[in-house]
Amino acid sequence: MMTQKVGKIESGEQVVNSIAMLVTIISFSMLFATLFLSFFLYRLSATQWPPMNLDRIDHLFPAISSILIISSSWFYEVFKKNLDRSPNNARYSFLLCLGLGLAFIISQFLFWNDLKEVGIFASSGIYGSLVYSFTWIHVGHMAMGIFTLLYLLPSVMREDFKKRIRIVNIGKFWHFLAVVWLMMYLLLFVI
Amino acid sequence: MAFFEQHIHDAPKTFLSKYIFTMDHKVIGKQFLWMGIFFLGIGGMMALMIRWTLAFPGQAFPILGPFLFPETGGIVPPDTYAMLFTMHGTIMIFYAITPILIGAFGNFLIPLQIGARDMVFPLMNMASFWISFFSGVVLMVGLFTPLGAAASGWTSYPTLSTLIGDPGNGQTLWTLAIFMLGVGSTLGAINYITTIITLRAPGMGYFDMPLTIWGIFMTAILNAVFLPVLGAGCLLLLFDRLFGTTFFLAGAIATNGTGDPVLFQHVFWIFGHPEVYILILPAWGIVSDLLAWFSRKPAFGAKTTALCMITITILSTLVYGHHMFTTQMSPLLTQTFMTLTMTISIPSAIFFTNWLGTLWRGSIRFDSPMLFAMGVVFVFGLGGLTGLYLGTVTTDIYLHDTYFVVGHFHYTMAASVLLGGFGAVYFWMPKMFGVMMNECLAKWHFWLSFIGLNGIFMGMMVLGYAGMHRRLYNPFVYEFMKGMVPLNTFVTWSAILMGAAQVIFVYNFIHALIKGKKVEDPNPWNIGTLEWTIPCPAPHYNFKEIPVVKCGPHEMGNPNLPEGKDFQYQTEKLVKV
Repeated sequence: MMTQKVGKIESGEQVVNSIAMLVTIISFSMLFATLFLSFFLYRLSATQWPPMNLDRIDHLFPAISSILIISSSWFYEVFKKNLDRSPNNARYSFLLCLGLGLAFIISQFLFWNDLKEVGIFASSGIYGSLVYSFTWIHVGHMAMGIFTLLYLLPSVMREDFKKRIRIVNIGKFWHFLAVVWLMMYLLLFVI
Repeated sequence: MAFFEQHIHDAPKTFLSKYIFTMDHKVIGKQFLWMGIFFLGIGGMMALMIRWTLAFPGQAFPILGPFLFPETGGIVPPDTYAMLFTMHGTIMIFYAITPILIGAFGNFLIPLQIGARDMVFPLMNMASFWISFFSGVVLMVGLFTPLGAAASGWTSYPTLSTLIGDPGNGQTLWTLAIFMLGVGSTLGAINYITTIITLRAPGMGYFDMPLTIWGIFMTAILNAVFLPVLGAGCLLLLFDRLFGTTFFLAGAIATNGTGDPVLFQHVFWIFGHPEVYILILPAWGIVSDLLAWFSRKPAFGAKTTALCMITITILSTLVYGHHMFTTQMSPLLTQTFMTLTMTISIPSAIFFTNWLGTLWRGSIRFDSPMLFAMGVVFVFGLGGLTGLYLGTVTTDIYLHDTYFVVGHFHYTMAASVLLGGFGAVYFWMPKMFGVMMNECLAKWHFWLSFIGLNGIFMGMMVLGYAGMHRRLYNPFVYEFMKGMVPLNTFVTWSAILMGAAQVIFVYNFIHALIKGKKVEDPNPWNIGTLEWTIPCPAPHYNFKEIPVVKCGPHEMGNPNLPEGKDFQYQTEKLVKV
């Protein structure tokens, strides 16, 4: 879809950036894959889960976070679709995407407060360690994602969409973070 | 092939933009070279302190000792000894070999040998250097913290590396430094991969690239894929140390909810085994090229060598378990890992044979780079063969954690990479700095280093076979190791010889930089690859016009070439009858 939109002069540069972005995403995937590996190691060698007779964590905030991050990703796609069709709509959906991303980070902070009230801390055993560390690392990457969106913000406000490659690649990173969150949600809170 | 127009930028004029915050791949390569040589000196001095302690326990380390350890009168204290071997390993692997082979020669050679004006992402290249540099600073700061630097070995196994085993800030800083270095190296790797894929000169297929570039390419791929694995492990270790998480604390998971120290070993070696190939692949590539160039004939089976490098790259990701045979791994798994490990010897043997095939009936020129390359063939063969005993479960159980292991990995990772790196420095010196190094001193440097390092590492293997454990402060308090003092003394004198030989190198290097004769000929070695078509030292834009490649990198000794010429440039059409 994007290849049709991008003019021929740019396409060479687009290939270069796509390759670099692919390698970057593979690197980030390996980081999170290692975290998931550690999760499985603890999960499969435990006789009981959650360990230490802990109760399962309340789903409320993680579920809200999931909805927020999915809709943020969706609005990024809307933003990309509207680049040529209606720049005004594109701008609004970009702002929505950014806002929802920030809301996701806030929801994570609320989630940590919630955990602390129940009495689960990072230092209280492997279950707390896993939940906190994974969400910390993910939020760290979300912050990086927000920075990349803010980097895009000035040109979006000017409705100047000439840097298509940049928009596509930042989108890839943003979607990647959403996918990672969904996997974390499944592993840590659902199964 | 070229995906976009590469413009010639104006040369940077200010000192800052030319030498410090430079985006020129050649200057960044030199920055990495200086950083690597600096850390090589520090790591080497640490090695000498370790060796001194093992050969002369209870005696003050000469000259430096009284300044560094005044409270013991110059004797290396036991806790410092642990810090020394930890920092020696870390510095040598991550801050000496990585910057020199991957940082310096990767940066310098990729654009020059593939015919590009710079890397694809010059800014990212600069970031890569400065992140690596500051991670080095963070690591060295650890030495000056109250409880000293990290002391749990370069592998940093928990529980040694958790707060219980190592309460000081040194270990925390170590973990942070390695994480930062991982970020820097990954940035570099992304840059290398993209550059090699997209910026090859028109006409240059993958198999027309010099094998050096193949080695660096494979290294970059392994770096991009596996450094984040170590990064994740470092993050978890940092959380354990800073925020009280319990990933690596020993204990039953279900009952008291603590973690599993062996997880770190898994994570470390999933990265760690590819890491040893990360270090050796550039050296393999450089050696494969040097052997062909100084034998004045095409590299024997160059395509096979490249394919073997790919095979080894893939296989290296599947064998990490052979580092963990003694961690109560299931026998089924140990045998699987053993078989996979043995499989690596097939491609290794193929390209080793290719090296010998390259030498066979060549008109060999024994210039210093060639001596170093042939030295690598010897030491790598020896190191590789001794690896078989460590990859086999039955012998590894006996040899695990002895000096045999130390000797083996120094042969493969230290000796081969060091010799390969030195060979590369001597060889590309005219292209990097526009001067030649003194050939006579280079040969002295080679022979003294070569004799020295064989004395060290062969001696280590004998010691290990006799049962001497690594990482012991004073092994001779144990009855069965008392008889090993003379051999340890021999190893230490070999180490001192090798250390002394490096002084020759440093003198030669500095002397060449300051007073060396300028090289007028753009091609002093008569080699046909693209970097030798441009003046020495390479101008900031590399190529006035992007070259068009018409033949492979080792077209030498072709009988159809005109009289008096035994090589052709890659930009020339292959001469046929």
